[in-house]
Amino acid sequence: MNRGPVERATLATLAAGIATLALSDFVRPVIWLAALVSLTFRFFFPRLGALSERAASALGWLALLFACAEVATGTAWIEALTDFLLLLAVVVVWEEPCPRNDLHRLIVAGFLVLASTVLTDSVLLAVPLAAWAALTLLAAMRIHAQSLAAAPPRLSARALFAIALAALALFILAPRTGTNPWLSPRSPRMVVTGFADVVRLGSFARSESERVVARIEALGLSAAEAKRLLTHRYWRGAVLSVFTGHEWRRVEETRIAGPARTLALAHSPVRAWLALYREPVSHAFLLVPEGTVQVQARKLVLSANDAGELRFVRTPSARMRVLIGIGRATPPLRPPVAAERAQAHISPAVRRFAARFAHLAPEKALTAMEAEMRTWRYALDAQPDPQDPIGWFLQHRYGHCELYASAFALAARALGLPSRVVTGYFGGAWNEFGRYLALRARDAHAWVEVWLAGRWQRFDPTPPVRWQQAPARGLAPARKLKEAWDAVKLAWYRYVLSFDARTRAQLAAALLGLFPWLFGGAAALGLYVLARQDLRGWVLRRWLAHYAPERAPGAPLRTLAVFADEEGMRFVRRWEAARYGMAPPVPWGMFLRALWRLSRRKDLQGVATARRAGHRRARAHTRREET
Amino acid sequence: MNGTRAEVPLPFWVRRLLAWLVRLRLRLGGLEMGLTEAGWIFAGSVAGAWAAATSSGNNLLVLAAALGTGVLIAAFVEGLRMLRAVPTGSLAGTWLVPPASAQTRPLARLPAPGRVQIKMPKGLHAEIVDDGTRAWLSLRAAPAAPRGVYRLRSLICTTAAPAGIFVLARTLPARLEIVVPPGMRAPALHPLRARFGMDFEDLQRYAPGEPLARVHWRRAAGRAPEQWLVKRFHDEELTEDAALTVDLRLHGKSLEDLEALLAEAWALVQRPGMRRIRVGEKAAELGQGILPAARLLAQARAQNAPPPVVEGRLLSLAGP
Repeated sequence: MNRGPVERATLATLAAGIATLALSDFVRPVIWLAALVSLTFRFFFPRLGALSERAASALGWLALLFACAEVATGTAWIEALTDFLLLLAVVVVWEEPCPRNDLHRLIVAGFLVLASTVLTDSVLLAVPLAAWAALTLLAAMRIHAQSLAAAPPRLSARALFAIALAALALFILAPRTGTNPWLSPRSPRMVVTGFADVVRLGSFARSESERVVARIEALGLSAAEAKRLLTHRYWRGAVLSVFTGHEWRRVEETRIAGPARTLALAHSPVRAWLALYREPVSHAFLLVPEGTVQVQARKLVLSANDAGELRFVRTPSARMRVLIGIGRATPPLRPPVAAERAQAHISPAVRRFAARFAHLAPEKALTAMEAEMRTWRYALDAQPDPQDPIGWFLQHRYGHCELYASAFALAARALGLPSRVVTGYFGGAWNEFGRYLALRARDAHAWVEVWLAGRWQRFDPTPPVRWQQAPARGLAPARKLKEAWDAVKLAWYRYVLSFDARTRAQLAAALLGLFPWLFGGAAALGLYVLARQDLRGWVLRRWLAHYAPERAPGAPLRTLAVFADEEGMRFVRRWEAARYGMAPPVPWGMFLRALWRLSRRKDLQGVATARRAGHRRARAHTRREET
Repeated sequence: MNGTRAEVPLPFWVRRLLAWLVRLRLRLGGLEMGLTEAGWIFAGSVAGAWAAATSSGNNLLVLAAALGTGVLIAAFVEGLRMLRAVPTGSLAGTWLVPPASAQTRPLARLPAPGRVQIKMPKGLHAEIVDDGTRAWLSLRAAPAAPRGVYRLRSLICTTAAPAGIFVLARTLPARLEIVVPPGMRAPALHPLRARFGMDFEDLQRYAPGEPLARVHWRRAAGRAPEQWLVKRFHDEELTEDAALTVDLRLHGKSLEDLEALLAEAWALVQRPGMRRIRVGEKAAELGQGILPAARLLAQARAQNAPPPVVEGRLLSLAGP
């Protein structure tokens, strides 16, 4: 019995399982590498030695004890679980090859795959997951056929197609009802972005990170409309009202909605729905654009306050999709609180700067101040004096957006106007492939809101050059490739991770729109398949079932009495010549004429009549039985 | 899932439950389906994955469970293809299968390597085997296969191939006649003609009951008794036995004795020179091959009437 093909197939299945865990953040690289190296050794040197079943079993139990000890010493249980599964994989790799070991490997591979569906949500998971399904079938086929062993079975394209089609159909049709958080996908390494709800002016260190923090698409709009709606927008995050001299802080705000999965912020019809795909970032704020009137999060609850902030009750640890409804009305924001009027910690330099605009009306003063500051220099590497960062900024007139926003807000307060700093994101990059807006860490921004004419008005003193200096790294084709890959990621989040009843309905609507094409395609395919079928053979078989019911399965035509005469034999010879490739197929006309003429023979009429009489008798008998 | 049995160490009650589940069959039209033990384990795992997916709403779990189900469906479809590929033409004709022998016939390849078992009467075993390079139909008769002529109009073909997850069975039309003659038993040698030594004419197949001294041991070394050869001496051919008559009367003996007599007759008709056989009232010429004789002997039943005529050598239970 040749076990080589079975060994290779089971090891390949296990490799697919180990590969799925590579994408998880919960895996210890050392143990993962140990599993991979063991597997590679075994694959290329199958006769290197093996553990007996008893020894393998003992080592399996030791792996479990090791995992328990890890949990006892403070390791997260989830890491201990992945360690255990990977150590188990090492054990079954080295276990003595035998039918039981084959099953052990398939079972461990299955567990690794199931664990990875909870421990990662990477788009790359699709590859080992698909490989696992195909290799499981291949391993099963090889295990089953190993006693034959002349040539190992291979996967047919038809089998792969059946797996893909069935998986796709089931994935689309399966109901999504549960919300059990234990089995939800996890991403433990939160992305640290430039966004924060505490701004420390002396210790700023923002980088031009390309890391995407959110992707937003407009549902039901054309690409042009979506682009118009989404680009050049402010995405509001934290509202910082308290200035302590060196940093900005939030005040405790009054909750106006939530905590709930669906929030209605204003009584206004939704004009457009946005789907925001949020990366696992290290804060609980939900970035929303101006005009947000409704928010729907499927799994986590969030709340809204009267300062216009939206926060999750618990910081989401995984990627998630939130639906944002945009309306014409703006949710009401509270009037200024004392902290937003506070004059303390406003340095003389700020007061001197503000005094230059004091002769103007408040709105004009603020516009003039904004216009002047926009002519200053933008620099990310500014290192202001920690003792007086705003004074340093006003003296050197260069810095980053937080310095601009802080100086402007404090100058407004010096003019007697309540103000606050708002942090969030601005702009973003439009992805032409996926037709969505990608907000990256480098798009983090701070701006100012000033209470004017009974409402909060936005001012952004940061020089516009800040948005022009985003570096275009790499060659143009490489950037396009990167953009396309990011679109693939969004497709994964959109159609796999966030697939729900709404997506299913959209898909159904899209399919309905394509119905004429699909119907036409299916009809063409059906005709093609029909043309490829042996229709003449089918007709002949039906004819023989009628006129030669005594024919044994597979009996050659020339042995049948119905073709015994000269005309019949002529037909058989022509038919056989066509069947064995020595003549073109019998033309339909000739074929049908021959069968018709043979059917008219008197003896065959007798056969058909007897057959019909037999059927009648059988039916009558059945009726009598029923009576 | 495996050809050789792989047992996962499971508690006794789980094993009992699995054995019960494996016996379950679902009938759907002309198709009967069930799962193997490994198939139940795999299907159970997929069901568990579906349960986890449904309770959590985790789409990746849904995807993994859907892929697992896809594997099940592909295995099912491939199993159906195996059954559909069984050439019904191969299930037609007459097969002469003496006990403890096998007949094979080459066939067109199946879609994948594997075995298709064909349900047969007791003592017979038939299967279609594809080993990845060629395929054949094999029909074996056990040493204790009861003699008879079996006419089969339909056959139940069962397979767990190619993945060993599903057991699928389908009834196929057939026109198969299987003739199982009696087991061979060497006729008693006439004392005057009993010869031994190296001066033999040629070799013939061993039949139980032949004197061991006639076995050609150098040819028989390391082989099973069915493959032994015995020496045949010249004077045995110079016999009056161009015809054989079998008296089917019991003469007070048992049916086992009649079986032994028929076995002796079967050994005799295979000898060269035999032209005609009469079994009770029926007779057959051997000029067209041995099949008519085999059919007569396979169908023979004890009778009260003597054979109408005695032609050639008479085999009878009369006498001591």
